[in-house]
Formats: sequence, structure tokens, C-alpha cells
Amino acid sequence: MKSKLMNKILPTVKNPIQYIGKELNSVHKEIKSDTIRYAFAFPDIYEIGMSHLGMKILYHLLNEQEDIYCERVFAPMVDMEEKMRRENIPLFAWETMDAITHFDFIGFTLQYEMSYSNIINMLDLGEVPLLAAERTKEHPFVMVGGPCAYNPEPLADFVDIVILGEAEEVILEVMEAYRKWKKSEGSRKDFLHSIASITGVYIPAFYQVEYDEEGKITSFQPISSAYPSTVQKRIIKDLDKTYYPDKVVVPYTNIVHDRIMLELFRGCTRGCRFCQAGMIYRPVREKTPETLKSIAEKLVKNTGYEDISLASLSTSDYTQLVPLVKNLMEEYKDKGVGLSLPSLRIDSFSIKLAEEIQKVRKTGLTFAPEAGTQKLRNVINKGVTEENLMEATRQAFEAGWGTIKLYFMIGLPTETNEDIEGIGDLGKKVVQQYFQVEKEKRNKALRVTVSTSSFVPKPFTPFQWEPQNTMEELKEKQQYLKNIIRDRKISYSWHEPKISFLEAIFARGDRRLGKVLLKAWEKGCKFDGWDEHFKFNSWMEAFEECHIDPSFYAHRKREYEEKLPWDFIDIGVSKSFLIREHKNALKERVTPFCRENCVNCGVENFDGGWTCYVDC
Amino acid sequence: MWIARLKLIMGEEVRYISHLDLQRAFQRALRRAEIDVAYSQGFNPHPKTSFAMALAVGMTSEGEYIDVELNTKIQPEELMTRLNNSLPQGLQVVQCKLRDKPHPSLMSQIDKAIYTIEILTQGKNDYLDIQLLIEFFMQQDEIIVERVNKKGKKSSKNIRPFIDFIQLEEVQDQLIILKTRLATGSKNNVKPENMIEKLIAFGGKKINYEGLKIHRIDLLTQEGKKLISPIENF
Ligand code: SF4
Repeated sequence: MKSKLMNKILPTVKNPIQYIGKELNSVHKEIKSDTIRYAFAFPDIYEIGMSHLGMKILYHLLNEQEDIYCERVFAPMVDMEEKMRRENIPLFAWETMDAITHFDFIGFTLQYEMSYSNIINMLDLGEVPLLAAERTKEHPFVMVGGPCAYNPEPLADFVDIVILGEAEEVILEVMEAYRKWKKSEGSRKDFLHSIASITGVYIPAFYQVEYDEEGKITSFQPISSAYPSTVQKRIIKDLDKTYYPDKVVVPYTNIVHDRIMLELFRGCTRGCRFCQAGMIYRPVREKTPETLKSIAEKLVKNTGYEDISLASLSTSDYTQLVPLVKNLMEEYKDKGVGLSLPSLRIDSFSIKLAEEIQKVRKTGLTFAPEAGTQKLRNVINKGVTEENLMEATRQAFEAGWGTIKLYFMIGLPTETNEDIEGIGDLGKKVVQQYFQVEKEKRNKALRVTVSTSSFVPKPFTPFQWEPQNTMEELKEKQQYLKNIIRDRKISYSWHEPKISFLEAIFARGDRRLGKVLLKAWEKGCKFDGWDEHFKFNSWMEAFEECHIDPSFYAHRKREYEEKLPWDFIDIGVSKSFLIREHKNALKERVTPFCRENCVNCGVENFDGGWTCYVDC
Repeated sequence: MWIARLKLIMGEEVRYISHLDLQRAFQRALRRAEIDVAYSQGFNPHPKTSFAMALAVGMTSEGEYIDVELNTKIQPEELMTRLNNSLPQGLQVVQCKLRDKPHPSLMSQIDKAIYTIEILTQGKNDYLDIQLLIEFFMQQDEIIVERVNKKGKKSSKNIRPFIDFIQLEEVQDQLIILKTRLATGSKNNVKPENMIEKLIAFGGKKINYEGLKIHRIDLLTQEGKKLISPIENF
């Protein structure tokens, strides 16, 4: 198989070097009888999967264990898959090119709802039975984790194990249980039983759901009292002490984020009401600058990368950002290593910082006001005012930037025509700012891009009860905005409402969606997040054939009393806090950021007591 | 200013690397090896390196050449050891020379390349048949290769004068191994895969092949009547 791949297939596909698995710092081990073989699978192509920080961490963490050999798996590109299917080559793991069906575990990371069909496709290509119930002792355990695992129910039929929260510790506990089980000659179920009560582990097969005639959940219970009725997510308490790889795989081919990623902290103190990451990753935990400097040093040495990117949600909230940035710049400026800050907030502080470290051309700067009016920004708790934006863009133009991207969401709760008009107005005001800056200072070319995505209500946010706009409503709003923005300096781009619709269905879906997923995959659905592969009609046929109304999931307003499919998961933030925040939203009432004032989101009671270090 | 000229091996592991990716991988290795290389100016400074001849995707080689500009002098042996500790699997420096004066660019020095070519065939092969095929092939005055340039314009070129020799090394049931020397470089250039296509389609009885494995043995510079390696006279 390997020689067929090497000599016959690879010469004929796009970008073959991505499939070889011999990149710098990739791990190659001898496989012994007691080796646990773990396939870390990313349900998208190499270029995207290799950019993912979680994969880098877990790959090296697992490989630190002598008896575990973790390899990487990605979705082959469409041309490659075609050839693999024609030549009967099963999906293989990158390092050894061995078929994944021979592994002990296949762990998928769930970053995006639209990659679910790829999971089914990869299992099929890997000759692994699709349904968990059909797997025997010969087959691997299929495991999932990542942000979408906070509502794992749509995948309940396909996965054996769900990991909730940060995996660094819990995955090793699961591996330890596996070592014991392997010696014990027990059944598959015995193993699952042995890990079901580890904090952060959820075994879908051990739970059963009942629904009423409308389709709402009436009960969600473990099949035995041996299993917990709520599953708590895992968090790492001390990020300075937790494992972080000091070398990472350096790909040959271009990937989306081809640089050192320095994780400054986890969590977010801002509390935007639409943002799932802001809730599920609480509490905020920072790494010390000392830890970061030493990680950076090792990573530069071991990778040779020419760029360090400071990765976290809302990077500028890191309390020691300025000294850290200064130090890194000082340290690396002569070594040809640059610095980048991907997720900056809109404010003068960030502009100055960006200006200081800006080593690339002053082309693009991105701002995310999210909503067009102050009223709506209060609803979503986005603490940004028009003055902030105007001040920041003026400074950006004065510093010579010419391209400004503005990100908004349409379809947010309580949105009116005025809010849509507000988006257009903001765009125009930004253009005016440019013309107010002296000619000598400003960039010769101006380009303002207004881009809108459609609001998708997500589990564990204050908006989890809210309906999504219908596709018609979203399209109308996009058209309306398009008509308002009739300015040659502004270009408008938007997201395909059909994709947002499907995202909304799966984000808040329950177990019954499993059969739709299977049907859609049978109809050829995969790479749904990619416009050119997305087969919307096939999806709608699949819903129809399964007698499931997609609107029930996307367009229905939930009452606070309704049992939600993810209610059995405890993320630390309490439901009462989410309800309070939802009510505040409707009253257009702003909630201060944690930094300024703890608003008792529930995390302070999490996991036997947690202290958030807020200055109050 | 110091210039190091390196001879490099590229193995199976990097057979499918593109030239651009190879350049980047090499530059990153220089940084890992903490070699004091000269950087280019501009927004994205990168180490100043220049390669002799891009190797096509899918080929391996034991004769690639790279010039690296250095700020400080370093012993060639040390440079080699440090780089070899930093290069990814499949890449290895086997020779290194240093000089302090500029030298004609590597690229302009290359005139020929020697390859071995493994043809994995579908049907069985006969040694004598293939030997005769090559002989007749080489007896032609003209071997015309059609090309289409980037703008879609067609042109044709006679490559016969640029094929020095084709030697039959080995014939097995489903494998033919040849050795050949072809003109390579900015003046005249024959791609080995084009030559092979012509050869196996020659004489009407087309050989069906499953795959080609092309290995570059060396790049050569014409010096008077002699052909030498570009590192020999450096
Ligand atoms: S407990 Fe208070 S400070 Fe901590 S995350 Fe919740 S609101 Fe913020």
C-alpha cells in the first residue's frame, strides 16, 4: 500500500508533500505489542488541521508517553480521496501510513459543526464502522473533544467517548484506564464503564433520551445510577505547570497559520452574549511572562520559524502584554523572527501596539464592532462605542493603514432596520475619517470592507434560547444592507445563509440528527463549510426523508423551562447567570467585564472553589 | 561577505516537496542551526540563499547545490555538522566550501544533469528489446518535444542535440532502469520526464508505465572540455 501510494497516487495529486508525514519534529516510534496507537484526527484538510493549536499540544503530549504513539490524520483533499477510493487505499495515519482501523483510538477534534459530515466520511474511508453500536473489539474507540463537544448530541450515534473541556489531564487518565483494560480481557463496554465517571468524560451510549410529541426533550438520564447525571468539564488550573510542547511539527507546505503560537491565557473576561468561547472557556487563566519567554525561546530554536503569534481570545486583555511584547521584540529582532497579534480589540492601545510590531506592509487591519448601533451593541454586551471605533480608525489611517475590514453580525436578537442601517453608516463614517486625515500621512489607497456573518445561537450562551432568523429574513437583510452601501470605497461581503442555517441546526441539535447526518453523507455531503462542496439540497432531502423539521432546531424560540440537549453538561457558568444575561440583553443593559467587577457567573463555585483574580 | 556553497542530498521523505517549500525548509534549518546568515531587507526578511536548479516534484537527488551568504566566517565542517543536525529527515549536506569573494551565480554555471530513471512498467520487459529501442531512439536526428508556454502558445523543440547518452542499467520483469545525461540550465534544458515520454512511445509499441522514479545524480558545469561539479572549482 505504501509503495502504491508513493509511486502511483502521490505523483498525480495536488500538493503531495502534505501526505508524507516526515516533517521536522514529527514523531516516529517503534511499534511494540504494548504500544497504544492513537490517531489524532482533524476533520478537515491538512492545511487547516495543522494550524490548530490543540492538535499540536495533544500530539506531543501523548507522544511524551513511552507506550503511546500518536499519529496525525486529516481529511484527504477531494482529488486524493477519489484516488484512494479507486485504488482501495483506506484512510491512513500520516506518520506510518497505516490504516486507522488498526488503531486503538481515533480522536476527532470538533472545531466547527460543518465538519461533522467529514467525520463520517473519514470513518468510512478508514473502514471503521460508522455507528458506535456496530464496533467490536477489533475496532478503535472513537473519541471527540473540542468546542463543539459541548453539545455532542448530534454525534451521539457515532462516537464512543466525548471529552469535555481541556484535555491535557483527562486524556492521560483515559489512557491509564485503557492500559488496565487491555490486560484484563474485558469487553468494549467494560472499558467505557471504567472511564464513565472520570470528570470530563461523557459516554453517549450510557444515556437515554425521551421526547414529547412536539419533539422536546422530556427526560435525559443515565441508563444506570453508576453514571453521573451531570458531566462536568475539565479545566487546567495552573497553565504555567501544564504541558506545552517545546517543539512542534513544522510543515513543508503552506498552512493557514504557519508560525509559532504562543498561548498567553485561556478564557475571556469580556462576556459578549453571542460568544460561546467566552463562556465555555471560563475562567481566565494566564501564563506568566517568564513561562512564555522560555517557551518562545525553545520553540524558536526547535522550529526555525520566522514568526511568533500571540494566540488567545482577545489578546490585548493579557495583563502583561506590553512588557511581554517589548521583551520578545528585543530578543528576536536581530534573528529575523517577527511578532504578530491576531486578535486585537478596537482601541488606541491596540493600534499603537500593532504599529510598533508591524513589520509587514500596512495593508489590512480588522475591527469587529459586531453591531451597527449602540443599542444593539448593548444588547450583545460588546463594549465598544462609535467613538472608540472612530478614534481607532483615525489613528490607523494616520499611521498609514489603508485597508480596514469591519466585521458585523446580522440577525442578532432585537435587531431592527435601524441596526442594519447603522452598519452602513459606520462604514461611511470610517470612509469620512480617512478623508479627514492629512493627505501626506494617509495611505494612497483606501479600501473599506464591510463583512457580515449571520448570527447563530450557540449552546451555553445567553442567546441559547433565541431563534435564528430564517434564510429569507437573512437574505432580505443582506440585500437591504447592500442597497444602503452604495459607496465605491466600501465593498460588502456576506456569509451564505444556507450554511448559517445548517450551523444553527447542528449547534443546538439533539441525538435525532444522527440519522440526518448519515443520510446526508450517503448523498455525498462532505466539506460542508466550503461553498464549492456544500450541497444544500441534499441536506434538505435528508431532513425530509428522516421526517425531521430543521426549523424546529434553528428557528424556534426556547422557553427557559425547556430541557436543552446539553443541559447535562456543567461548564461552570450557571444557567441562572445565562438567564440573567439574556434578560439584561433584552433590556439593553450592559454587564461589566469580569476585570472590573465579578458578576457571579458561577465559575467561582466551580470544581470545589475557584478564585478569579479580579481587581475589585 | 562570505559565501558557502553546499552540496545537498534529497531523499524519499522530501521527494514531493516543491521548490518554494524546500527553500523555506532550508532557511528554517539555517535559523535552527544558529548560523549567522545575511538577511534580505524588506518587510519579511529571509536568509539569503540561492539554489542551482529547481528539482521537479517527485524526484530525489544526491546532487543539489545551494549558495548561502554569511555575515561571519565559519569552518565548513562546522557549518555542515550544525546544518545536518538541524535539517529535517531526507535532507543532508554532504559537501561544503567557503569563499570570501563573489562568484558567478550558481544557476548560471549549470550545464548538464545526470539522472537515473526507474520506469515501473505494467507488462513484462525484454532486455534486448529495450536496448534496441534506445539505440534506434538515439539514432534519430530529431526528437521533437511540443511545449505550451504559460500564455498557452505552442512551440516545438528538437531535444536530440541535448541528450548526451542513455544507458540501460537494468531490466527486470516490471522495471527498467536507465541512466542519462541531459542538457540542463538556463541555456538549454531537457526535462527527463519529457525525454522518457518520447522514448517509451518510440517505435510504435508504447510501453505502459505505472510510475516513474527519477533520481538526479549530479549537476555539472562545463569547464573547457571537462564537465565538473559546481563545487569543484568553487
Ligand atoms: S466568576 Fe466573576 S470574575 Fe470569574 S469569570 Fe465569572 S464573572 Fe468573571
